[in-house]
Amino acid sequence: MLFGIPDMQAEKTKYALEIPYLGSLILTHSLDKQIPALKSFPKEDRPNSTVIFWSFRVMAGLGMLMILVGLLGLALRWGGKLYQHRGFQRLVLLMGPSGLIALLAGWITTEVGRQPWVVYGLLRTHDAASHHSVAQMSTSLALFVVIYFTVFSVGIGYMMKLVKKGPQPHHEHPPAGDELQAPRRPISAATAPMKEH
Amino acid sequence: MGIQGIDLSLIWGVIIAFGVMMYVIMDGFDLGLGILFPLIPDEQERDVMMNTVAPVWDGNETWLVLGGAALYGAFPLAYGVILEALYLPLILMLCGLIFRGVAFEFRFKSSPQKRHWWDKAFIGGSLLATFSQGVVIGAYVSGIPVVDRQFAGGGLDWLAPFPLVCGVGLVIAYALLGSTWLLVKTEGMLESRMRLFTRPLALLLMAMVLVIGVWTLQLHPELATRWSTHGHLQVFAGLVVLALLALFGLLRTLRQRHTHWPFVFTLVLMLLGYIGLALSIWPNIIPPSVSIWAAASPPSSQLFALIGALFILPVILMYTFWSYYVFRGKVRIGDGYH
Repeated sequence: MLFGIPDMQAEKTKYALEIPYLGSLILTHSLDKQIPALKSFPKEDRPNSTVIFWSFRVMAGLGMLMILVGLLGLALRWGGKLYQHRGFQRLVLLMGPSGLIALLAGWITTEVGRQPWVVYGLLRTHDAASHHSVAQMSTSLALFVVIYFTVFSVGIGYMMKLVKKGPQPHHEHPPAGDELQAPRRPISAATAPMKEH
Repeated sequence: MGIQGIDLSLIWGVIIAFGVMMYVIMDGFDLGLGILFPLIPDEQERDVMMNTVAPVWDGNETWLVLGGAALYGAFPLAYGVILEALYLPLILMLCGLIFRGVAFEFRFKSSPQKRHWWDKAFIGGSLLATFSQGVVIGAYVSGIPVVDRQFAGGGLDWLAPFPLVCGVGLVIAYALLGSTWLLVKTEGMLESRMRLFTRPLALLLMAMVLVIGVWTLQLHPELATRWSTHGHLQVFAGLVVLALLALFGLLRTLRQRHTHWPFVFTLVLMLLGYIGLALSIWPNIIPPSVSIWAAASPPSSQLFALIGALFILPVILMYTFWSYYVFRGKVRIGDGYH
């Protein structure tokens, strides 16, 4: 099944567009074996299928798109138009965050997909939670949200600045003697200072 | 407990103790730099301080990850109980480590007007991480109640005078590690200033150790009985004598303007304190009641993880040694300004 609108209440996918036999071929390596259906699991043992349905397709779709863009780039390179084709360049720019989005979507698929289990068949997520009060858990969660937003916004701001600046010609100067031992930080290759806010 | 007479829990206990010790010593001096930062207002000298650890600080934190992962694999009960009991201080430690880690990258990229924010992130992060670690050690030594293999205390048990004083103690200990590290790695004004700070820091640390030691014995009279029994007493006396010798050596080599010896003696001091702590708790992994054998995972899990650990530990040790070797020598102003 390629696409459709999942309906959790009715336990079916509306407007489904399917390729017969393909799923069976991938998962069981044969054309006629059955994949255990979601409906064969008791309702309380099922994850939220709407979320996984979409997150998986976002991940896989972006993956396909990345391959496509790569092939397109190769074709343009062979045609000698890679550096002139504005449309393609705009597309690649738009694909910038695709890796991060696909990664997050894949993560959501695995984490939501294994619910309600932490250890499959043995331990429910509900039973694995610590005994801490809601206050402690929400405080720490809020703390992480604030910290990550702070740190990421600075980081993304810097990345945007580098993107805006565009590629810079690289000056090769071999380090002399002592400089070989000088420590370098991971983002030391980026020469731009941070934005003056 | 073991396979063919090999005590896997014992081996894992030693690996974890070793990993945590490596962490305390190595991340100790780079956290110490953040603690000393407020005493060094000069921007260039601050750059030098950060550059002395820039190539190694994140490698130092490998040991923290190793300790946590090994605890999870080999002693799941201890992992579950200790992390639950010390949830908030450990979260605060992580927050501190995030800020100081980011400061390493962004401080050198920020405009001079904004740089002070990253200085503050570095100072605050280092202080918070160190203080939280001290609180964690203090609360751990105080004991964590366990009933039916479950944490039986409250979420704020760590918020007591003893753990908080241990937090302050560790801040001083890391500052001393940091200042003696800088004696090795820097020169000129910065080095002389560190020479000035090291003596009071060392004496202050000894005072703190004394206070915390006496306090521990008062909180846990059973420790006093343990240490005073035959055999233990000799070990204890040996540790104290060695610690006094190390302190003497530290102060003496400091006066004689040695560059490396004060750091070595500080390491010895930390090591002796750590051994004393480990022997006081042994063979428990969750003081005061759960031993390493009671908290162990099944022998098959311990053996499985041990095979991986025996491969990876030499690798970590080798690259650690290599990175310190490559970046040996003094760091000067303007060096590594990238």
